[in-house]
Amino acid sequence: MAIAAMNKSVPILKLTTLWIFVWIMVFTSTDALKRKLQTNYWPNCKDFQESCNIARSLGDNVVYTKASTDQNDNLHYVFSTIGIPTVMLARTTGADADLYFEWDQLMSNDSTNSVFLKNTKGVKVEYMYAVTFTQLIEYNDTNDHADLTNKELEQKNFIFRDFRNFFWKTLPLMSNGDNEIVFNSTTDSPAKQSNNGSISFSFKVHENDGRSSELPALVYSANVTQFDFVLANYTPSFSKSRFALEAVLVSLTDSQMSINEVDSIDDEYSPGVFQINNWLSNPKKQHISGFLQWKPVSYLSESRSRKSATKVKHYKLADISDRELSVEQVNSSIVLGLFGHVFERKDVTVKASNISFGLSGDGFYLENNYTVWSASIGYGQPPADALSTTVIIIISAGLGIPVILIIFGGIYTIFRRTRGRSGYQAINNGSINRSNPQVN
Amino acid sequence: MGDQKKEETESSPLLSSGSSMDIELQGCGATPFCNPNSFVHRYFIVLVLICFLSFGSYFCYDNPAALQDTMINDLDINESKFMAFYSFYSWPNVVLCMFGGYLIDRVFGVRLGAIIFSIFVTCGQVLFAFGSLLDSYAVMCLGRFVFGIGGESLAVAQNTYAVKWFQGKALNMVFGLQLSFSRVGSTVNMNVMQPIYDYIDQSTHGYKCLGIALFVGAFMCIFSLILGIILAVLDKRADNILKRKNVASEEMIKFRDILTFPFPFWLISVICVAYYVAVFPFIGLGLVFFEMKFGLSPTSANAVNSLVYIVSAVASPVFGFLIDRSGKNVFWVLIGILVTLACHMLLAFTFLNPYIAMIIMGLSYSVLASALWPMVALIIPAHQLGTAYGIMQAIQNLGLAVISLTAGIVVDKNGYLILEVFFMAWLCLALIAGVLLYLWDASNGGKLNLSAKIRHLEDAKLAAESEKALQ
Repeated sequence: MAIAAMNKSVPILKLTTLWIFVWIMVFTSTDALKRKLQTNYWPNCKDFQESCNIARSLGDNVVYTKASTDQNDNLHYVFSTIGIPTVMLARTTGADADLYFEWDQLMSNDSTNSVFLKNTKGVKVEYMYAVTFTQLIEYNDTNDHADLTNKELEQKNFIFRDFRNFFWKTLPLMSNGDNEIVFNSTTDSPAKQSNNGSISFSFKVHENDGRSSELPALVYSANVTQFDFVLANYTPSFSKSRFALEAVLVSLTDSQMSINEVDSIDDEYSPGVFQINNWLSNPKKQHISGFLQWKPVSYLSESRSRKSATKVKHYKLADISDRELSVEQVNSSIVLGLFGHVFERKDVTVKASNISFGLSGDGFYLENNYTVWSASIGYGQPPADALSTTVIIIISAGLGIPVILIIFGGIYTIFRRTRGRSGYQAINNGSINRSNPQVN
Repeated sequence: MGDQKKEETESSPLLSSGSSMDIELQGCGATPFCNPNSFVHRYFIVLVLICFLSFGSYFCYDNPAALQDTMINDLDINESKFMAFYSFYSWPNVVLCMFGGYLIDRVFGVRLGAIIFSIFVTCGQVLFAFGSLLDSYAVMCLGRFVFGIGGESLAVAQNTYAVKWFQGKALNMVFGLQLSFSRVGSTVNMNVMQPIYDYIDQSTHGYKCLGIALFVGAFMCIFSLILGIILAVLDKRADNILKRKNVASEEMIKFRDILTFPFPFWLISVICVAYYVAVFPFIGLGLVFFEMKFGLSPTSANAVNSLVYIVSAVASPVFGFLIDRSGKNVFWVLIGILVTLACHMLLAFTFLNPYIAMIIMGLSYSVLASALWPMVALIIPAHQLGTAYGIMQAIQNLGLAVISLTAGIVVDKNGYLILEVFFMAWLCLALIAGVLLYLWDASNGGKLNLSAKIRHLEDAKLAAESEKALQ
């Protein structure tokens, strides 16, 4: 019986914490925010036909999505491949306003202030930030460590492909209405390195709460845009090639950025993934902060599953203001149009990190010639996973029912025994008698 | 090998004096080495033979795993075709080893049974190797099937032998030792096969090289077969000398006797299946879990994942020995289940270093395995033991096969947390069965959970009584 009692305490403790969890979940699920989305491909191009045509011929795309509420709490997303693939996000409150794109200026040598808010009366810019991808890194992972910072890698093991040199396919003129924007490139230069592969960024702007139906099933809200980065059929330069992406965050705050790794025991939404990473642009003040959120997993095949999963690794945040190439790359993007010269502004923070794909032993990129990585870009507090009610029910049932059975079974037998004991003593002789016939 | 030679020389005088076996033992027969009554004979000769009896089959069972990449390349097969080498072994045994046990009891007897099943094992491995030489996938599968028929039933024969020689003496330890030998067999295989293959690869290549390497495994089977024959001779001799009673024909098991197996036997079977499915399918899926949840490198994840095997290989004879000293098997089974449950909880609900949980799991598995299997011998009469162990093994095989598949589906759809809960639920079921076993036993004389001291006293009393009855 002592054994049964020992077992009781452990799961019960667990169950109580779980129930507390349920209540926390119930109370924290406040009213979901909803936004109205309005997407414009090639915004304001009617006013700047000539410059826009040049932009198209260069593969310099711009898409503008406004996610607005009735209270004029608006998020302005700008997706662009001018220079390098970039997403900008601005939050305005107070009154309705639109971003205006001065294409002549945007396509000129210095595109500063080419993107700005029109009719600014009563409009307050709460926050602005941008995520840009500067280059694709390919490296020959000779020792299969799947680590960019591995000391054994020499300079000759790396190929850096500047995204400025890629030609991004020109988007259709009109929006297709589903607020999904795909930037795709099949050409990178110098021409010798170009091949049949394809690189794409597909963004999906969300208008309400939910969870992505595809692995790793990231949670989204009306403050979030999710994107997939796909590297398909790319002919690697080495037999042990792995790839990485350099991402740069630009924030209109003077802040310490950080990448927080949040561990969870729960991997129900993305089997085998127990961590979520949040790159926060201003961790101290969540209401003037943006984030890049991802789970450290990418998939080696189009049909995403636990079996095709491999790891995603990020690195220490780096200051790039003294790196000439990085500065040029960021300044070539549409960031310059909205933020101006970010490296000269004291009130803007810029940080970079590499994000590499692969896990030692996964057979390198060559194994499947495919890698897809999903992440979220958003404003405010990053969404978080919570134990689903199904899981809580399963845990409660799976552990609770046996525990209850044992408790009641124990009580029942104790009851029977204590009642039986008095009788047992009375027929003490009888028990001997009972064994006698067997012998005879 | 040394043991085997010694055996052969030392059994020769025995054969010459075979006619007068019931009288005084002469020559070597009187020395502790050959006297079946002696401690030395039992532990240093018979026990070694019993342990090595299934060495060949454990060695060859994991041949495919040891040569996985090579096999897939040389035979030009895909992963699922490769996995079929294991399915062809395990699925038929969901039923077959039950009949194997029955055949041992009813038709062959343990001696002939062990030899016949060893022959099956050897033939299966030879077919497997031959199939590889011919580059014929079908023949290889057939080989694995034949190998499986022998392998699992041979394990049953091994258990029966162990009970026959060691019941009431050191049965828990012997079962623990058998367990660790099975691990030794597969570990040796894992470390040796690839070097052997590489060595042969210097002269022959491709599937032919693979075939030759597999023939090395067949030699291990032949080695075990020879030991099986020696063991049979020694066992027969011991029967004569010790006047072990032969099973009278009216005492022979009938198939419907299975229905009359006592309730605790079925409880033990439930514990067996519910416990094992919570350990081995988990290990099968553990690699990614340790890599992803605990951030281990593939090498350390692999090390953690194999901890249960390594720990149990060392710990199970030790625990078996201790349980022999203490008795109280049901108590130890309950402890084993509870501690394993706690380990799964640590793995599922915390980020505590998995080395700790897996080492403890290995220990608790050793405790359970060496306490659980010998209990069957306490409740099932000797002439039904083969069938009983066969049934247990069959149920376990069924459980492992079904739950491995289910666990794969669960983890793909719902992740490792739910998978862990799934395993915990099985452990809870094992726990319920264990508690029931404890209660049943307590209210029926407590035979299973006696302390070793009392058990010995009872045995002595029984022996005295039977002696009296004979007089």
